Amino acid sequence: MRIITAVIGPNGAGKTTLVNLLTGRLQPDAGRILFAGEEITGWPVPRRVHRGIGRSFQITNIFPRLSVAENVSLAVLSRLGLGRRMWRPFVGLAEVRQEAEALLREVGLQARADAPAGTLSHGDQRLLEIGISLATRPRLLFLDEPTAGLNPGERVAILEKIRALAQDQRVTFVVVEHDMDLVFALAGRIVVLHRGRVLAEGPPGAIRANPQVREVYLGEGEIAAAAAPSRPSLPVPSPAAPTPSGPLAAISPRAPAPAGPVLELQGVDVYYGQSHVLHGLSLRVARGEVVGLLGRNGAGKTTTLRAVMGLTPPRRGVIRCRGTAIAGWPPYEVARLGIGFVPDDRRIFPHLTTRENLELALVGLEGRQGWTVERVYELFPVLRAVDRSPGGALSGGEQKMLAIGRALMAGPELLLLDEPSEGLAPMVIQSLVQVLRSIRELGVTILVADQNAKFARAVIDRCYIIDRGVIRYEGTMAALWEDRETLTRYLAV
Amino acid sequence: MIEALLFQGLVGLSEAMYLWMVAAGLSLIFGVLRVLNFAHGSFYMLGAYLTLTALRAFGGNFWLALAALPGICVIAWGMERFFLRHVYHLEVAYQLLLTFAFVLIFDDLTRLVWGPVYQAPPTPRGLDRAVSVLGRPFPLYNLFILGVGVALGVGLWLLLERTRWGRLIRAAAMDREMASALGIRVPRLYTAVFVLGALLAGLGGALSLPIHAVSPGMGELIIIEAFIVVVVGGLGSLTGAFLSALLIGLLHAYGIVFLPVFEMALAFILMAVVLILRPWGLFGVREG
Repeated sequence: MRIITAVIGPNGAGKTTLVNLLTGRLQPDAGRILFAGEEITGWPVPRRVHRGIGRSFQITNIFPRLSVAENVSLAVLSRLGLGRRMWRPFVGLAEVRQEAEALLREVGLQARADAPAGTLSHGDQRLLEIGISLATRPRLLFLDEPTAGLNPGERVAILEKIRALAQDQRVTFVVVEHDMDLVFALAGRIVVLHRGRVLAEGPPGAIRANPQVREVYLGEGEIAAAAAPSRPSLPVPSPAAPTPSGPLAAISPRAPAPAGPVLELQGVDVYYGQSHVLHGLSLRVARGEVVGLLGRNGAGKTTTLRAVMGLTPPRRGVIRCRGTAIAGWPPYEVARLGIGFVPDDRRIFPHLTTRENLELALVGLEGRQGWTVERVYELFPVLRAVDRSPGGALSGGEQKMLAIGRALMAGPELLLLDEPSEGLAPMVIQSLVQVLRSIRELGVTILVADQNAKFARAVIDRCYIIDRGVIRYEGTMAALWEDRETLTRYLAV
Repeated sequence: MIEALLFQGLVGLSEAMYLWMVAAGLSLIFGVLRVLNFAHGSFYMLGAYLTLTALRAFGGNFWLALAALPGICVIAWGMERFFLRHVYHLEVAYQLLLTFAFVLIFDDLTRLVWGPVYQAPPTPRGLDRAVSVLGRPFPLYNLFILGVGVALGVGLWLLLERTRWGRLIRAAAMDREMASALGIRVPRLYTAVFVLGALLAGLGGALSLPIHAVSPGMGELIIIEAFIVVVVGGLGSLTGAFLSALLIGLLHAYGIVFLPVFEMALAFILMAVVLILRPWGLFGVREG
C-alpha cells in the first residue's frame, strides 16, 4: 500500500540532513541507502533524479513569465530530452502538450493553463511546482514544506491534492513539514527524529500517544528540577548577591522604570516575498520581564525578532521601543537604541577572535554603560580559554555563549534571544538557564523565542504562543504549564 | 646575464605598483561592498588628470599638485551616495551596467575638460635622476614608486588588522546583516570604503603621471589588468592582489624579453589557467 510518510522532529533533529542524504547532496560516512531494492548509496544527484527521486523546494521555483502550461511542458520536455526533440516540433510537442494537460488536470490547474505562472496565487504556484515535479515522473517525491506561507484555505487545497495524488498509486511522498495539523491529517506513517536518531515511528495515533515523543516536544521532567532556584552547576557569578566589585555589579542599580512597556508590537504584518508570515501580531514586554515567544518550527518566532531588529521590516503595524516607533528603522539604529540581538544561528564573525567579536559590539553603545570583555568572561568562563581563537573555530555551544556575550557588550536594555537552547546538550542548557537568570537580575529585559517548553519554563515569567504567524495564547508560564491542552496543541505533536 | 635578468625584474616590480594600487581598491571594494566597480579605472585616470591640472596651477611642483587628490574622494562619494547605493540589492548585472555607464561618462568628461591628446609632465624635481643598481642606471623615481607601493600595502594591512575601524570593515565584509544588528552603520562604512578604494586608484594615477603619458581611455587599459590581478589573486583578498600584481608585473617584464610576440597575452593566459585550476583565485576563499 502506498502511503504518505512524514518525518518530524524538533530543531537539530537531523531532518534536513536526512533529506540531503536521500537526494544525494550529502554522502553518508557509513551505512547503505536502498531505493526500490537497489543500492544508491554513492550515486550522484542526477543519477538519482533519473531513477525517479524528485524534490520540490521550499522557495517557489517557477518561470513567472511563462504560462502555466509552458512551465509544465518544459519539465516534460527536459525528461524526454529536449535536444533530441528540437527538430521535430509538431509531433513531439503535441505529445508533450497532452502530457502537460494531463498533469495540470491532476493538480487542478487546467483552468489556468494559459495564464502567466507569475499571476497565480501563492497556493496555486505551489500546486504548479508539484505538477512540475510530477512531470519528471518521480517514483519518490520530496516535498519541502509544501504549505509554508499559505493561508488556511490554500493549505487545505494543497493537502487534499497531495492526498489524492498519493492515493493515485503512482508516487511515494516524503514530506518535510512544520505544520503538525497538516502532518497528522495527511500522513499514514510518521517517523520522529531526535538528535540524529529515530525516536519513534508508527501511525499518527500511536505517535501522539508515545510518551517519549511527548517528552521531546514538551519536556516533562529533566529541567523541571531546575525551575526551583538552585546553585549553578557551572561557575556562574551568583545573581542573588552581587557585590559592588563583582563583575555584574555595574549595571545592576537601574533607575525605576518609567511607565509603559519596553517593547510593544501592534498589528504587525510581515511578508517574505509573497509569503505572508506574520498576521497582525501584537505583544508587549514590560521592563524587567522575561517574556517567552513559544511555538514550533516555522511558527514565526524568528521573523518576529527580525521584524523588531529591522532585519525584516514589517509591511504593516507598529513596533515601539520605550515609546519610540521603530518599525522601518535600519537595524543599526535599532541596536543603538539599546536592543541586543542573539540570532538562532549565532552569526559569529568567523575570522575575528572571541575578544574581537566582543569588542566589536561596543560600536552600538550610544552613551550607555557597556560591558567589558572581562565581565563577559566572568559570566561565561569557557570563553576565556578561547580568547584568542577565531570565532569560526569555536564549538556550537561556545559560539552560542559568545553570541549572548556579544549582545551584552553594548549594555542593552532589551535582549532578543532566538532559540538559545537549540542544539545544546542538557548540561549546557542547565547553565544557560542560570546565565539568563543572572542577566535578568541585572535589570535586562529579555524576549526569548524557543520551542523547548521545558527550558522556557525554567527561565520565563510570561509567554506568548505563536502558531503560523498568529498569537494563540498569552499568559503566565505557570498558567500555561497547567493548561495541558493548549500546551499539547501548539507545542507538542 | 643574471644582473640583466634581476634588473629587468626590478623594472617589472616597479611597474606592478601602479597595478597594485588600482587592484587594491578594486579588491577592497569588492570584498566589502560585493560590487565589481568597472569605473575603478576611471579613478586612476581622474587622479592623473586632476594632478596634471594642479601641477600647472602650482607651477610644476609635483608634491603640491598631489593636493588635488581629495577631488577624487568627492567624486567617489557622490557616485556611491547617489547612485551605487541604490543597486546593492539588485542583480550583479545592474551594478556592472551602472558602473560601466560611469566609465563612459568619465571618459567623455575627461575629453571635454582636458582634450583628447596625450600629455606628459616631467619627472618631479629631486627624483628625476638615476641611481646605480647592479651596475646599471635605474630611475630613482621607479625606486620611489616601489617604496610607496610597499608602504601602502603595509599601511592597508595595519588599517584592516590593527585598528578598530578596520575591524568594523572586516566584520561588515563577513556578515553585513549581523554587523548592522550590532549597531554598525553599514551604509556609512560602505561609502567610506568606496572612497578609500577610489583614492588608492587616484593616487596610482597621479604617481603614474611622470612615467606614463595620460590620455582619455587610460582607465580602461588599467582596469582590465587590475581585474586580471584581482581574479588571479582571489576576489576580496588584498594579499592576493599584492602578490598577483607583482606576478603580473614580472610576467610583463620577462615576457617582453623572452616572448615578445606573446607578451600581451601572457596575463590573460595566466588568468585562464587560474580560473580553470583554482577558480577562487590563488589567495581567495572557496565559497560554498
